Amino acid sequence: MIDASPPPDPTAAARNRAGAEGQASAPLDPPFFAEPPIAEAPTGADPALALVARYLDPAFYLGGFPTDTPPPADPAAHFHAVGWKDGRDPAPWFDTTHYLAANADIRRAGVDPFVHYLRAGRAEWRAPRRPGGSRRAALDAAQAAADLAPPALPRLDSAGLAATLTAACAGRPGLEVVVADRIWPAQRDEVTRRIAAEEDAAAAAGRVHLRLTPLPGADGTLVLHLDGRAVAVAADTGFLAAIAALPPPEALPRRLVLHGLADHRPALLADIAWTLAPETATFWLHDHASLCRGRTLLRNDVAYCAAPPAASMACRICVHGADRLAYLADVETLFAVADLTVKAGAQAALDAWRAAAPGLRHRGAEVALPPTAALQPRPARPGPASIAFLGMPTVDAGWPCFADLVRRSRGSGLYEFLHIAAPDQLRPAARLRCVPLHDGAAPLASVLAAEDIDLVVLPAAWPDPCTDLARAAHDAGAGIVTLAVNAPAASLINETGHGVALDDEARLIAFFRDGDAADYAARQRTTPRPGCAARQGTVASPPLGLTVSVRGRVVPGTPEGDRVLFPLPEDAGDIRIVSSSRYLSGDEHRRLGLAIAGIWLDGAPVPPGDPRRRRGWHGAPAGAPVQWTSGDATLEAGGARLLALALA
Amino acid sequence: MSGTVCFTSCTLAYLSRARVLAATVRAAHPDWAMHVLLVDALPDDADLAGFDAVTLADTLAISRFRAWMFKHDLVEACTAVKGAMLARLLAAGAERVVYLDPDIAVFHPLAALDGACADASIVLTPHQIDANTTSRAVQDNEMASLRYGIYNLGFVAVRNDDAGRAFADWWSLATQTACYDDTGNGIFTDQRYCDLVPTLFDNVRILRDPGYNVASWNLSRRDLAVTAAGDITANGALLRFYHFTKIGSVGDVMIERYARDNMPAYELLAWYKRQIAAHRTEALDGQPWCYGAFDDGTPVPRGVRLLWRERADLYAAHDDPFATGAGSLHAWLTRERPDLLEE
Repeated sequence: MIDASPPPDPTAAARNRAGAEGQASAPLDPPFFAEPPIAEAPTGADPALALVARYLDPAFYLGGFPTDTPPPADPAAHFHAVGWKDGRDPAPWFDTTHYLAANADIRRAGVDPFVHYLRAGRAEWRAPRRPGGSRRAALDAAQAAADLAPPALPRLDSAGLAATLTAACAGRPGLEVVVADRIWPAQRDEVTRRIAAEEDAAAAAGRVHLRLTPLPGADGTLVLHLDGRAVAVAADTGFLAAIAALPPPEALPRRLVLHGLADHRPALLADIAWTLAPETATFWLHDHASLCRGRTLLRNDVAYCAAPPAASMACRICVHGADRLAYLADVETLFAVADLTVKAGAQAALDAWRAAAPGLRHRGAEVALPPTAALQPRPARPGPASIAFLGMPTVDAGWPCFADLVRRSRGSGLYEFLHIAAPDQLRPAARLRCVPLHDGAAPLASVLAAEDIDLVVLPAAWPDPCTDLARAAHDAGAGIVTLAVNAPAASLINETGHGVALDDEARLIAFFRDGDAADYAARQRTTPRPGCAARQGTVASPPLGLTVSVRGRVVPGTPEGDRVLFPLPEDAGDIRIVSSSRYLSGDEHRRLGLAIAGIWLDGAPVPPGDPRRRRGWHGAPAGAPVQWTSGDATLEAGGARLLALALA
Repeated sequence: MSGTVCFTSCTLAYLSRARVLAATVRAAHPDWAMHVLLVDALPDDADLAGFDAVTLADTLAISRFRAWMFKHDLVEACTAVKGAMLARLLAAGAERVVYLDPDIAVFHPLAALDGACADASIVLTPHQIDANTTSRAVQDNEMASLRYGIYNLGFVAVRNDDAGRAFADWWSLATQTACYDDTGNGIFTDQRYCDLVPTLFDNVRILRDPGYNVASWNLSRRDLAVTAAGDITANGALLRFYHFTKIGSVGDVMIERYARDNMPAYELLAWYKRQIAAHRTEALDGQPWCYGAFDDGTPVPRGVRLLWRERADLYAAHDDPFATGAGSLHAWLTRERPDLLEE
């Protein structure tokens, strides 16, 4: 749509764009990104419908419909008539369901909530979506430990337990006691794999493998798994008494492996370690439960806290922090008693742990790093970039961020999103292809390679010591997109030069929204080590802030002087110039993308007003050198083989 | 009595909030004595362990207490007794008295009272310390401050000196005279009076630290954060206390309106709701306010209270307007103004 009003100050947009390119000082994604300044109400036969038509995002709206049914011909009319009643959102920044839930008066009035917001709600400071985004849901759900129903297993007292253990250990050359947390095995692939390997090794050696997992909410209750099979529920104190009744260590050598402390009582584990008198004791650094009951160090499950002093106010307001002082004292006792060797999957994880836990005495530490595979170039292919989320869709893993990314990217056409996980972990959603990982299936890296994944998104907002997913992505030749706070994954990116670590979730969303992810995915296909290891939200090869695509395929651009050059395929025809777009404050009510100072096709200028600037170009006064795009502009390139763009 | 005494004023329905306040005050200032002024009847089994002392409002030096109390609705009543309680504590020898609303929680020690304001006789916190920049926010905040008072009387600190005692006596007098939600006549409970304090009394300190009295009415200009050291800050200053006004209803809406995506604000809100739940006494849930009904349990309509304020003859004739039966105000209303009882 051509808008006849004069263009705004290009320097303002340049400042705006600088923020979008990741300068730390510029607010990249203001709270209500892309929420439009409202112009005067349209007039005509149906002003309300005209208002909807002006601010509804057609691509986003149509992206919410199943692909196997015909979409509505007139998105605005559909939304205004029935879409809002079905809970559909007209634009990424407006949440119809929330607006109606939060505003009982609007709900009772039975009016189109989008029209209400545009006409009055915004002026009344009503929020167009739930402030805080996906983290609010995580905060609502945050709790210290969920109560779980005890499994249908016999409950043994200490005598019964002693009899069971003594019988199991009879004639066996040793006992291996493994302490794991409650989320094993479904959630932690790396932990699952290590424990399974330990079980196999113990079985091969004839040793008894006894795994203890806690029952959250049932303080001090353990589930006992004997040689891989759940056999009983018992009090941890009962277990302590039972191991005291076993043959002495000389007759039954013991090993102790701590894979997870979450929901255990560290003081009791210290007693168990003392009574067990193991010949070796190992502590695996899979999470941060040695620093806090909240194993991810996400304060209230929403913000990484970096383990502040236990008496701090941050701990006092946190669902996990209530008794952290006492908890840490117990953990310290456990480490002092058990003489543990600490093992980590990544050096960055070990370094961070040592810095945060200087008081935890231990015998030694080592890093068990699986080798990374060498990358090979992959052939370029047309179509959208394939973007995957791996594993359990949990808050810890950053699923809300990924789900938000999928939702916001609806209609862009630049990406195909996949969720790859065990069948019972898949979370089907609109525009998300689910790929089940069945038991005994090929390794994850092979699945990623078979699916030809371009980028794996690992949006955990905490330093997850388990790097197995990142390594699988790397081994499959996929780029890793993560948050800088996830130091182990970011460290792997630095090490391999393959991926991007961004400052925060807003920048991660923007990386995709602005088309930089598509650009990066296209480049890394042909150059698998593009030197894009990043920290603090910047990339070594800075994104251009725009994407040029021909028939759905991204064309890589190369800066040259004050222009960016794009080699075009034969008979390119209509090409799209896609960028972030936003509404500036003040009276400006148009969605503004790029301020283009010049376009050349095979060296010949295509000035403002040229009919080859087909769609998505805002009006410019006669003779003005700069013309704005709406964020998604179409240019008729005909048979030209080289496009040059100059940004204002 | 010596040292600093902190008190709050509430009914049984707000006791869970007052307990949260007491716990946070005690954590920040273990040397302070914590009192609660209960504007309600005290059940035999009430758990008041979090407080060093409990004062029932009907023991304050207020003439014809029940007749006077009948003029007020709940919020008016809880604010109308603050001045008298302040005067009582100063008279009893407290070196300094700090009043905090029951829906406040203290996060970091109120260090300014021993620092920049150590020599002040009266310390007040304004609703706002930064000018708003949008018309809507001016309407919601600046214009509200002009209607309801420049200073938020959820907090006041008073030293036991001449100016402090003079303020306490004046405030007690003013609030016993008219402590009503009557903005049309320029009165809003105990709060509008205090617009006059800087001009009426010496040694008044206006505390403009952004860490004090953070609430939905100033969230538009205060950014909450949690530092790596685990401190909670407002505009970079340590958060001293947060005023969780009207939580569970319009307060939640106002926080969303002004905090927007400032997640620590929602973390504080979630924490506060957990604290209230943890300090709740189920038996007190839904407990009616003892001054909210006539002796026979019939609620006292607001129209009756307004009539009672205006009719000096009725006020003079009935010592206990809550009574029912022959010769009572209730009997008179039933006969003369049944319309008011039907509200």
